[in-house]
Amino acid sequence: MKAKPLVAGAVALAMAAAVQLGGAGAAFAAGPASSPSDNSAHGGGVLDDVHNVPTTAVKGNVTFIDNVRGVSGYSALNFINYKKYGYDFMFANGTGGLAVWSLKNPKHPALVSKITAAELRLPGDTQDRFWEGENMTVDPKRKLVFLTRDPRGFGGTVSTGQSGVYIVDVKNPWKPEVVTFHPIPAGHTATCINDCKYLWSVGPANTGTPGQDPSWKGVPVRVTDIHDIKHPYTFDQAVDLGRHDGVTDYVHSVDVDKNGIAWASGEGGVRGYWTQGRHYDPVLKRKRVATAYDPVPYAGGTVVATNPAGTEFFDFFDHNAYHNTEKVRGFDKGELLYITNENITTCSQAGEFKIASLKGSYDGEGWRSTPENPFRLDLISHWSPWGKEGSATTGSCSAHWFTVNGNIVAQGWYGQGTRFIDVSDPRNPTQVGYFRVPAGEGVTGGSASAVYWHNGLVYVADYNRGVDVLRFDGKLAGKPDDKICWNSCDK
Amino acid sequence: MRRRGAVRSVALGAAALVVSGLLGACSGSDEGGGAPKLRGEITFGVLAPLAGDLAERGQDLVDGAQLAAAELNDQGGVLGRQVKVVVEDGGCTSATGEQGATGLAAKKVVGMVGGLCEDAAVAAAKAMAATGTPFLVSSARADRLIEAGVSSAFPMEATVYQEALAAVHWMAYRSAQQVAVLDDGSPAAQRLSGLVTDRLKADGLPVSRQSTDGPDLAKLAGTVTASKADFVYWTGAAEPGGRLVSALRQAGYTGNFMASSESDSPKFLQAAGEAAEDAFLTTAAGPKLLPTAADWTARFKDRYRRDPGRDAMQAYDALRALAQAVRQAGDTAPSKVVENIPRLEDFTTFTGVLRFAADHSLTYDNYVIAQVKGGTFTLASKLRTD
Repeated sequence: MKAKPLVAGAVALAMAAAVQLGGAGAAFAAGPASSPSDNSAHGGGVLDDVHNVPTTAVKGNVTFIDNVRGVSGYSALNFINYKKYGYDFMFANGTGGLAVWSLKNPKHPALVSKITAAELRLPGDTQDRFWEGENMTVDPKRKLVFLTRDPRGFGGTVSTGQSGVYIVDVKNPWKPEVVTFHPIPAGHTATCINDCKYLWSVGPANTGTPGQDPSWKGVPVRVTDIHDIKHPYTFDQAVDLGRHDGVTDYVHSVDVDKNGIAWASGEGGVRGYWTQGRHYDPVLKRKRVATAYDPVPYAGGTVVATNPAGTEFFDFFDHNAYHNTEKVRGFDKGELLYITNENITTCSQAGEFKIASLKGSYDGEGWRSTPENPFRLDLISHWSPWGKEGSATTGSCSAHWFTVNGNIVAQGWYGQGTRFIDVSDPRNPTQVGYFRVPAGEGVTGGSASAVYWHNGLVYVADYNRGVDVLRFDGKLAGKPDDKICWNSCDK
Repeated sequence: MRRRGAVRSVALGAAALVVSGLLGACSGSDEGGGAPKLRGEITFGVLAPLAGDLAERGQDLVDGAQLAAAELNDQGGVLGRQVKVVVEDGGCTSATGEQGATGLAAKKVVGMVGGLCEDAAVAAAKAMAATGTPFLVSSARADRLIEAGVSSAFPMEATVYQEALAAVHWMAYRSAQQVAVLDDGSPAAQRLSGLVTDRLKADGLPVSRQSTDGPDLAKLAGTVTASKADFVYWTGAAEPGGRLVSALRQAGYTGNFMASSESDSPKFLQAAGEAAEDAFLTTAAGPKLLPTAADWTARFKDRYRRDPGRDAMQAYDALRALAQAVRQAGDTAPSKVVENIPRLEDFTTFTGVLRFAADHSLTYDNYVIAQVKGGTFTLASKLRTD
């Protein structure tokens, strides 16, 4: 792969943007019914939006298509298909609140509605600043969006702020309505479990918020029954305790694989749980019914630290994970776990993308690990953009959220932008594309939080830029996925 | 002669004024250390059966509302005005409920609390709908009120469905693996057992459901024991519920036993005998079960020389909630008060935060789990995390 010369690339980008934004631009005017972004026939029009053309972009095997701003920068996106309209809508949450775009023209999202942070304020809040909603989860059947409120949002702190979830009804995407704010003693991210009948809310790092055990170093999983969103119920008992060599610590993310196993990632590793059906519990050594509130351990653990400098917290901070349920190269079906190890430090030592083997962890080993007798998964490989083509040498460079299509991982790396990594050979992850936006005159510098494969395109939730719409021009390795997992991937 | 359903006006406002004045004299004031200077009145109505079989509960309800009014006045009233309580006998029928509400409307109440019987409460809510007068229904079961969809009525009791949720959630806490849901064939018991069964099935838990209206509980107990159930939930009447748990224990059943609120009765304890020990109950929270109500119970007892019942506690909370809504509205216009009821700020009842869903059902209900210990019902869990 060759990087395009910057100047030529910038010109090409500017031209492409000018052409492509013409479609989006037409949507702002009261155009004819055939206008690509005119959704009036489907229930509403479009709102003004801002498009920041990244003339400074550094890229390889990637075409920039569009950028949309909505209400702010974003930590996460998700998508819901509306059969009655025949296309998808994209939802993003960030400091500015919730933004909703029609993907009738998927290349040029049309902003159709929003709920601002000011509208999400609760009594006692001191700022109009939603925080943070990483790993956004949605219920595509009931058309619900869940905005996870971190206690650090709206002027709060980990010990004084209010955490929980806003449940937003998006049956009419032109008119999203907050059904309720439900307080939960957890709230950095949340994930739908069991077809969105339950919600697992997790994080943040420090305890100190009401309802936490003082011995916990971070907030584990809190389970909320959302069968009936008018009457959400959060269980008093938390899940995934003792995760860091026996100590209860910060769960940062929950990601459900294609077999319905919920993988809880955070400080101390990644551990999978059955949440439905009857399974053998390798910890209790008996078969029992798995539920969302009393799940059955499956497998998992953490891997050895790869940062030679070592940092007490980040060495074992497994930020999020993806369990590949397929066979890859010489590895067994379902053996591999793809992990983001977040580490906010100098670019040369920043957090990496890791691949681990679950072999040897199916008998509850990850639940019996102690500081004296630690259990660790086999590390297959680890990768970072440091020194790779198209990379920066300064700034924030850690690995962050990713999604997988076939054997291509599309991952956000803060200031290192979006990276496409071919994991066909899990022992040798290889960069096959990248897109990074340095700040420049009139160009908002990028900080990629999460990257989403979606119907042949790639959407990037960027903390600074809003959403970038990209096309990966490289060859898709492996069998393309029928269904991309964006956080919750129940069958 | 006591006339069930008779409508009579009870002038308690003056008494409340006297009492609250006495309380006020004991408290401090922002202005000169005397009693709070309250200008004008805000009148709240109380609807309760004051005659007939439920007269005792009705009086309990009235007493709870009056205590709330007295304490509000002691704390400076509402919007700087004296809280006055007027009472109407709402009886237990639709006709008496409507009459009672009409009587309160004639007294220009800002809002009303009470409502003990469903028929009377629904009729009263509908009667008040025209004026939009807020009505916090403190004791009547919520289901029919919610079905009625009166925009100014807010039930402070939970629905049958919410009792089912309480049962299912407690089964979750007890890690139930195989559940037997039993009812006595009555429509109410069947409805609850059906709701519980459906929810358990949705979670993939093995569950069996059986109705029994016959006396052969020993046979039923044997069936349950053979099914290897580790959790039994009974939704029928109290006395057969007590006999059922006794029969189950005699048949060797060692798992959890829980009964619905129908069994919140001495009849259950008497029929079960020693077998009642450790049995669970889904029941609406009352002052005897709630440690958070202990201080209030003492204040109530000091004033009325008796223990408060649930109706008093509910009416006390309802009147305070109504007052809070008026405060937040900064006005007594019905529409503004109603608008504020679903978004009370920093307001809690004895069970926790008070919030209403869009359909006016309680977002967080007041069902708790009681457990028999030493022959009496004790609190096992509030089932609340707020």
